[in-house]
Amino acid sequence: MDLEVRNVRKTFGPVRAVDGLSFRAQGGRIFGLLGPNGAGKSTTIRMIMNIIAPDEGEILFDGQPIRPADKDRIGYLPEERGLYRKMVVNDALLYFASLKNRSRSEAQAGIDRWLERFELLEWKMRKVEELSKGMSQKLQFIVAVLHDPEILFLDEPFAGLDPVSTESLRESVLELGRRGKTILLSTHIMDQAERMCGEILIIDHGREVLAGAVETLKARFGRNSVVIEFDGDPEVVRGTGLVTNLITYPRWVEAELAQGCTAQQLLSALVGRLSIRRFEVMAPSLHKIFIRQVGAREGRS
Amino acid sequence: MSKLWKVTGHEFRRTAGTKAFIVLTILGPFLIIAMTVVPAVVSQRQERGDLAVAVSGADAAVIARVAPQLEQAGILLEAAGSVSTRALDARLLDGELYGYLVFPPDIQAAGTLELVTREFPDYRVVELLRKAIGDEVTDARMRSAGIDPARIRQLTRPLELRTRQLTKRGEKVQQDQFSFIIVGIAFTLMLYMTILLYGQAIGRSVVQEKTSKTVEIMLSSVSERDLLFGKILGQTAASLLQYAVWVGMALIGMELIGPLLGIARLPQMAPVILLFLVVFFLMGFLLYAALYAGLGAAAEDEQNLGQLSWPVIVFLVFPMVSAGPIITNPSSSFSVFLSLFPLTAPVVMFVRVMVSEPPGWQILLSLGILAASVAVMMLLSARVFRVGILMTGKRFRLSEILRWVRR
Repeated sequence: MDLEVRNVRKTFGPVRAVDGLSFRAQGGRIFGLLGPNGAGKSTTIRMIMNIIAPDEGEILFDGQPIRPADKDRIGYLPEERGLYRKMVVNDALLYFASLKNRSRSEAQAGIDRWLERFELLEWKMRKVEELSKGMSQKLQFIVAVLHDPEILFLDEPFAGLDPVSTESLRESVLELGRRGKTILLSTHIMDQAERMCGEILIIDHGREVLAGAVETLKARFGRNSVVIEFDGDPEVVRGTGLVTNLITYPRWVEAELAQGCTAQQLLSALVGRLSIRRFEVMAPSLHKIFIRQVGAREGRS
Repeated sequence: MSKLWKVTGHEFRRTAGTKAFIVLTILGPFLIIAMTVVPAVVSQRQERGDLAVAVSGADAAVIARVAPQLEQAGILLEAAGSVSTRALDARLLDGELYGYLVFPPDIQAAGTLELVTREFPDYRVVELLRKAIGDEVTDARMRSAGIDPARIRQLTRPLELRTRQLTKRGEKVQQDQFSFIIVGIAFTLMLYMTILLYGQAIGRSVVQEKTSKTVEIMLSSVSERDLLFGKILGQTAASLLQYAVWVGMALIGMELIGPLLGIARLPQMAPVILLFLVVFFLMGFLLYAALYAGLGAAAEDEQNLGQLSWPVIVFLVFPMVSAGPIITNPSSSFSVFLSLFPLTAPVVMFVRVMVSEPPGWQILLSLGILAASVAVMMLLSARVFRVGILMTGKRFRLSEILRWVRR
């Protein structure tokens, strides 16, 4: 099932939450909707989910506006998490599956499989309110995928998850992608997006900043990025005057080579002043591209 | 099975399946009995002992003639002769006396008698004294005029007026005006209480659904209409179940303990009237449920819901307040208007059907308007719900709500 969003706009009072977005998500590829907080990601997903109506533009599923029957083929993990708190986990899952017109037996098999996968089997007969935040989030993901949807919308799926849960969730999403599902994932964590998405759309202030296949984008931004891992003061790297757009982490930095400078010049400038453990010339990370693009826009406005 | 029924079933179980609901269903009638019947019984049976009332300045013969009947009612008269009121005041302050009566020198001519008490006098005691002594004085007056009081009483016996109503079928039926009023008021109260109890609950549950984070998932599966209608229907079903249990228990209770308390049995009702009662009750309930759902959809939180819902209460109370004019003049244009206006129609039309024979077209029109209002109200609520969902945390003005509705 393909999704096409055409020139969608939404205004809340004076705020232009979404300002003319267009994109296409296709089966088998994970589409990343990226942007800083408040960029309009959730509003876009809510419009796709037909929870709020766009002021302008079209949203098409396989070339058609959404029909009531399509809801059974859609899975949704909203940004605002929450399930009927007083319900028993198993009953809640059965109820949500029944609302997607799944038979009881089919749903029950799915519930057992997914609960086991996320190590929640022992919570099956407990009430939703007894679950921890991370567990409820995994439960919420199960609600989204239990009916084996053809198209899946995940709004910030990793927010608040521990590394182990993040990993098993990531695995599940990738597997669904391999099985040909259309997946739209919104996140502001670029590393996650880089590791999962085939195609991305970066938005800010409701407008498109950058779009395309991850590989193409990285190629477009050239192989002029360097990652240096070292012991010592990162200011030394800045002090060489050979780099721009420096991002510092505790024990490493990512930077762009300044116009006309080569990696060789930079390396020789650093030798002897820092104890270098890794020096790599590479395509910029999504994170870097994101900061550069969004940051540049911020600067302009 | 359509999604609407799944939501309905879910909401029904969610409401009727809770422990609080089950406990309230079973204990409710006992609580109501405890609150209404017990105080009545207690105050009726309260042992107060006899009340001593001293009488100053009266003829011993007069006292002797009225004392026996007052004694039966627990009032002990004590002839105090012509003791000064100051001495009686002292005894009153000591608590020896409930009060004392001061007869004027010529009671037959004076026509006024004084009762002095410490507390505000019990109206029953005052009435008993007035009646017993008054009758005695009247009789004495008649006797001094040479008239036989028994003869006068016989001659002035009041006339009884029997009423019968001619129906369209030519029968003349006798109906008890009083039981109409009782049934009319009981029905109004019943609808009023039910709507207060459950209408608010429906409104609250819509607010909760709207503010809960579950609503987006629900809307990714069902339409807002199915969600809201299912909610209204499921909760209505649960409410009616609870109500049916209560009414059933009340009827059994009246059969069993009613006679012990001297409460009359329910007036017999014709099956047609009973049918109208059920139909108008259901329609009224659904209309108000939909209205409360709409308010819940517009409310920002539960507190806000309370503020928004007071106008509803006005419409509920209005027919109760105007029950008198409606019962005494069921065909006036005022009554006809109220029986067609949807928010008052359930009560007023039912009362009219009970006390008179409104034209068939008016009954049908009233039911038609009600049914249409229920449908329109539910659709409006769904609309407001839809628009209100993502705007939680913002107060709404009526104009804004109307604007959403028009959209």
